Amino acid sequence: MEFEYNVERKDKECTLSLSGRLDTLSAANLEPTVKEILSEDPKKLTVDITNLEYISSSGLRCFVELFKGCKKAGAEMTIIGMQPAIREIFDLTGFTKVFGLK
Amino acid sequence: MTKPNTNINHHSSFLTMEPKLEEWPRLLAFAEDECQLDPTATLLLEEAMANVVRHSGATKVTLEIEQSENKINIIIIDDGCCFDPTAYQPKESEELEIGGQGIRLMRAMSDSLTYKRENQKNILTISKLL
Repeated sequence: MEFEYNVERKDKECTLSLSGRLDTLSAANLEPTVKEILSEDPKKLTVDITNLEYISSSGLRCFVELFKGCKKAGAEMTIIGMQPAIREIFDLTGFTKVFGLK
Repeated sequence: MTKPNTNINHHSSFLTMEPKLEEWPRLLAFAEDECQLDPTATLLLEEAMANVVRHSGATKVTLEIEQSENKINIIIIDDGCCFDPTAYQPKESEELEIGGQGIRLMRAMSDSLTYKRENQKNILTISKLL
């Protein structure tokens, strides 16, 4: 499944939905959108990864950038819909703990 | 590019590519064709290649995927500067670190990771039991 993303904005709340494969190439394509979202200074960011099937360390970098940007701006970031295959990658890298995921 | 091994229980495939993002679709197509037995192998291959792109400054990379009934070996040979991912120590931190996650994943998801430097080339072998 090809990588696709969608951004929905409502006031200062933003939802970024990711689907398919977030690999090295698609992470590079997503990078400008990550910067754009953070530049809009959202108060709340939801990342919906219900349909995300694959993530590499390059994809994780996008999450780190979003998390750090939100933390710096005092915004709340939530990840929803994590599937087991993605959860395994978050667990192995220690991101589950750092992101405060249950 | 596939070169069947003489042993019917073994199969080796090769790909030569430039280590750059534009080559990624070829890399992933190769990985998906050759790593069907174990999807984790696709991730291992991608992480190894991402390290070559980020750290070695290589101009050419040769990939070999060697499969037998119970094991897959991924061999990455590049002509870049000396970079030993088996010696790299990712920071243990409660903070989010951008670097080192690929190596952390390779170590966690493979059964062995060996490196050698020969003839000005980095040779990384990743093994995964099936």
